[in-house]
Amino acid sequence: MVISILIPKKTRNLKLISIYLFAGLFTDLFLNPISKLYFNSPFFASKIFTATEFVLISLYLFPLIQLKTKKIFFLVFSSIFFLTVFTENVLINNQNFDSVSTGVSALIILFFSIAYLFSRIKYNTNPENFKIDGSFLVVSSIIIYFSGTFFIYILSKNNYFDENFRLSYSLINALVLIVRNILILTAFITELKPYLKKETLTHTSKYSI
Amino acid sequence: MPLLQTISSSSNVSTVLFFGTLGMLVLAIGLVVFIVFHQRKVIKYQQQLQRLEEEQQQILLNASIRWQEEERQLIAADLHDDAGPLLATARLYLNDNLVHQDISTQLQSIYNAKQIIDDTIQLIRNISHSLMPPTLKNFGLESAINDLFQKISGSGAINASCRFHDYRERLLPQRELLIFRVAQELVNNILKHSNSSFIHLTQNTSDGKFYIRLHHDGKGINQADFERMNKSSVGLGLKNIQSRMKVLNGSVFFEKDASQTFYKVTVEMPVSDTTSL
Repeated sequence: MVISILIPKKTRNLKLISIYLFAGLFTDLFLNPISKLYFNSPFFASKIFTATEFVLISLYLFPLIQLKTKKIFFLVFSSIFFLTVFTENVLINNQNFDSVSTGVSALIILFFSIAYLFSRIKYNTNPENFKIDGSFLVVSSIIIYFSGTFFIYILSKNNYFDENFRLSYSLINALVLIVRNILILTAFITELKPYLKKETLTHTSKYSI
Repeated sequence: MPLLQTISSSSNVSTVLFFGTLGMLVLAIGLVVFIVFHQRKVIKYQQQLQRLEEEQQQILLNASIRWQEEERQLIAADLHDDAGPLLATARLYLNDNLVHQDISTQLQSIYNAKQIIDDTIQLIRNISHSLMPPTLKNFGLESAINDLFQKISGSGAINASCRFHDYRERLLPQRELLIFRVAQELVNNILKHSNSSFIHLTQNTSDGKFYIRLHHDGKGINQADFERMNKSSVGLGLKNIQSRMKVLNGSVFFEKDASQTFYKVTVEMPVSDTTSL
């Protein structure tokens, strides 16, 4: 949260990612215990996080998508996700792990992340845009994270209380989280480097006068 | 039995989970790696292209400098070898001893000196005209090219003709001079290398573009030859044409006519270009 306040206005996308990271941390530290204590369900927090995660990543990906038709598709698929969330949690009132919504969200995000990376190759004419920048690293981290967690999330509905599965779940989740966070950290460094350099320049020029 | 089933079901889930996650991760990482490598490849290609363009620019710049130097040497040679001796001779006629000569010798000397000075004036005028043709400056491109073709035709060595179809308004003086130089260089090359019996120049405009086409029946070059010569150290004149065309934001094409009888050179540029001149 502190990072999201500190980072420059121009890097709005990074703010979204830092809020996303903060949301993940907040869910693990506060929402999960609250969910277990007050709602008597370990999945309440994860359901809220899935929706928040989808909204934040969609807000991040949406401006990156250049084509209007793809944007329309994105909105249509997003509404499918919210419909799934509504059906699973309000109409059916599923008390288990919401594998359907998580799976749908992972598929939509994966599809549009891959579409973004391909459009980067296909429609770019400026070689400057081919360099590995912050958005490329963030989207790569999203792809790796959602690919890695896809199977553990869709199998969680029926196997969450199995000890062996829980162990695999924690192991895989921790592994892809580390990879994701390393890539996001690299993205932050890449994006904030010019601002840091500028700051150093103004700092030295101030004292050199 | 139920315990065995549970173990079997649990191991099935583990297998699905292991292979599924592994498969997804391999695909995801493969995709990211593919994109990184593709991007690197594109950057490398762009850099190579940029380097080639820079090399080409360097060749053109060198050619332009060499051409300037050659022009200067020609002017210097004309001034030194022709104007210098002429003026020195005139000075000899008008030396100090002239006052001691009789009237008729004085008049003859003055007349001779006047003749030499007239010749010098004509010589300097010729040099000046070769630098900037007065017809081009005063009457425009059409008249200057007509003038050039009349002079070539007048020599009797080759049949030269030109026709301007669509030249109602004059172009900017700098553009006219560059186009004239390009046409002059092309004609010069045809005269020097093609061994043709005729040259025909036509001008027209279409879709905001200004075209000059030259046809001749001699030995010519095609676009591939032109590009090859442009990249090599030979063909200074062609490099000058290329650098002038760059300034004009235009292009030049060398080809054999559809009838395969004539060679054709097409010079194409925008009628009005605010970016370059």
